[in-house]
Amino acid sequence: MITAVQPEKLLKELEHVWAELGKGHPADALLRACSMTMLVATTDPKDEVDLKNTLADLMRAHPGRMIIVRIVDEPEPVLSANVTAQCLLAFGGRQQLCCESIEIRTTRDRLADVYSASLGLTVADLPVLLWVKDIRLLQESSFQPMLQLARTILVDSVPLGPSILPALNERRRAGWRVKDLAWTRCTAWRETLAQAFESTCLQGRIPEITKVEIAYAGANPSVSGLYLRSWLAPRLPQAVFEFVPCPPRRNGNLQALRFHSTTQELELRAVDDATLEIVTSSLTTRVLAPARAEADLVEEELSILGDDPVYEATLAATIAPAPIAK
Amino acid sequence: MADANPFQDPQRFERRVPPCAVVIFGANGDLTKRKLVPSLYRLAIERRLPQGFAIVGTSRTPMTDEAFREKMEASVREHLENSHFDEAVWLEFARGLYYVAGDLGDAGLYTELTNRLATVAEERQTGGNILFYLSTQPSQYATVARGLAGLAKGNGWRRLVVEKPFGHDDQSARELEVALHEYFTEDQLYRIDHYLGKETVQNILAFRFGNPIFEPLWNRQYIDHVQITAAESIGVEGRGAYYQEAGALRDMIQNHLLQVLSTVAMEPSAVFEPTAVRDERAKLLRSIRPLKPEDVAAHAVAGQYGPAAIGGKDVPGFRGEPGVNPQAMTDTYAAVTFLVDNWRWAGVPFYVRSGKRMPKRVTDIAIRFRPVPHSLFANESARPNLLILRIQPEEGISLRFSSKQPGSGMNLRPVSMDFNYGTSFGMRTPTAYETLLVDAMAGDPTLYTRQDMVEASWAAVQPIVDAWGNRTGPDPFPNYAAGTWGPAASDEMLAARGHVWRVP
Repeated sequence: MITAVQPEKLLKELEHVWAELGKGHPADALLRACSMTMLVATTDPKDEVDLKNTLADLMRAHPGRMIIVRIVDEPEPVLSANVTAQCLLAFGGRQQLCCESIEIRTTRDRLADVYSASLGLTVADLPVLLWVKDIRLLQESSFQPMLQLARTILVDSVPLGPSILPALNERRRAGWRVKDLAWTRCTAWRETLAQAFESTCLQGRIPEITKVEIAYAGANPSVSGLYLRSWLAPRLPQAVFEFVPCPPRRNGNLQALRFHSTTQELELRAVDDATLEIVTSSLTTRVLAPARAEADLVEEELSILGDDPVYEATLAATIAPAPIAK
Repeated sequence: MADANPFQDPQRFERRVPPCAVVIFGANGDLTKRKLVPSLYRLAIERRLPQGFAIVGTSRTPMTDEAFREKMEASVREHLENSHFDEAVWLEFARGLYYVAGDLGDAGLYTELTNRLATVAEERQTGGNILFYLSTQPSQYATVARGLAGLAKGNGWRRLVVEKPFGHDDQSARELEVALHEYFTEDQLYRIDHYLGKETVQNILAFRFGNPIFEPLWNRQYIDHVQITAAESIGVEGRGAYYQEAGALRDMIQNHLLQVLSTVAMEPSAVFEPTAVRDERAKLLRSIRPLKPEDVAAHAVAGQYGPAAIGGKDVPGFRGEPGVNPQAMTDTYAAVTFLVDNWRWAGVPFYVRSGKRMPKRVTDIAIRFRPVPHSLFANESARPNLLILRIQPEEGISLRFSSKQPGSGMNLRPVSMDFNYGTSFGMRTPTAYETLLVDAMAGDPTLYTRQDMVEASWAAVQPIVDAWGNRTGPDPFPNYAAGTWGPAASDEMLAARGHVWRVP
């Protein structure tokens, strides 16, 4: 165990881990793979196993150096680190794919040290992404230096709801690439809708859509619902939007999107936890859209390498939305 | 053109597919059961099919829609590789399955099909768009095209997908073209070569034209020769009757491997658009030097496997396979030296081989670079660099280079730098048929073969077909034992230029 985080020492330990792993294997049995540095900031003492599994899932498509910053509440200052490597057998292959992981345990008062140490631990010439698992950290002053480590920040705004969106938008305006899993959860809805509107007949009716209802379960519309409204609004400038509460058909807040026009109705609605249904006056079809694991959501975000103008515009519009009829 | 669908987000969503009906001729056949319907179902699982979608199967066997759905469900369950079967998705998918029985030569079939498609367009909101898929005997292509004369135009688009072989020689390929063009224009024709739909074959283009470090080396100055291998460990597996008429040269090299060769050797197109990419492929195929009859023997080797014991198990020779004529002169192995007469490749041999009953199943492309001009190291000269583009089974790219062995002295050892497609991208890669079906429905023919490419491919192999067809003298077959890397003559063909086949 290291009581101060010294990058050179940790990197040396990593070399040792690799040397040990390679012993007794043919030269090409292990592949040390790295396509990025992913910093993960977490405060949940109980997420150790879940986080490890999530990162293992991510590693398949996005191998990288994982630096887990585990922020703990202790009476005395804490700063320690250890290194590990995680290997998995490639699909139908003989070669094991291995990624390295550095876990830093720290109290909030030592985050400045974690920041300076992390500067020496990121992999050269590859992208650095900061996944702020606990979104409340974004509002803590002690955490602010950590944000300087990466130009891409990944969060899930759901725990704090719409109140955090202005802070995310500020980061976006300041030049960060912001990614929000609440937006990623909209993909199944958006994609199904886009497919439905591949019909030239429905496309022709878009200007006739005068009202869109976003049905939600729970006390208030979620961030995902707000995002969808902001995404749809410029595409349907003639429509008014209304959030309507409804009984839940599937887990989560969003339950249906209803498009009303003078000539045709179209509804995209949840049937159950795994299925969405598109209903028009002449055809009803279903598509599979099960709730997605966190790793799956993160993977979608990681697959977007550059800017994401659709989300950026949506986030900006959500901060300054048109009046909501409710 | 402005995007008419404002809800698309190409950065996140897969390629769009417009509403359409897919009409499969030969719906009771192996390809439909093993590849086509399972691929379409996988697309449904991944939400890639449009809301308005239907499949209309046709074959001679009388069957109700319901019986067809049951049959297809059994096939999908059996052939759904790397995917789970989802009952709810199947029920939705199956609602769009229809069946029309009839004889391909009977005008009544097409009348019934016309009526059924009108009903389906109404029920399933397919927008009148139709993709016809010919999964029948090639000899029936012209008959079906004629039958579809009344359906080849109408509301919405019409496309016709044709499976290989596109003729059995250059003459028949042109006859087929005339027959198809009588009813369909070239831009309606999608000649499928599933090799071009493989992710790793497409990745050759990404590798070559997305990485500027390789392109300056991709020419005669630095490349000594190229070897393309497509080996199968199995024999003809019940396809003996078909295979003895085709052979390795026609079945693999004329189409799949020449398409792979063209992908490896083509010039970069100005844009990644169907016409531009296919123009470059066609140009390359036209640059292949046609062999003179007297040159065939030195540039092409035919082989046929004989019986052998593999791993303690006796396997028959080709002539002992069920359904095969005991005197068959079929090439179960073919190796050809192609020369490309253009500025980039002059003098660089492209060795292409394909065979059945080889030691293992492997398809790869090995690009061998020229050796160092002068060796600095006394003990061992550096071995030439080798770049291997692996297509199957483990898709990826390997680069072999020399490295100093640890320790005193300057001893070099070849080492390999590997990229594995599966591990680097982790996710399930779409099968070739999924890719190609989506492309056809979306109207993107980039990965489909154009008539001029078919003709250029035939021009490259026709002298060999002719020479082998006019063979005289003693029976040369069998000339390699099952489970080996082919006949000795193939090694000699490379040895004549100072090369050896690598062992994949």
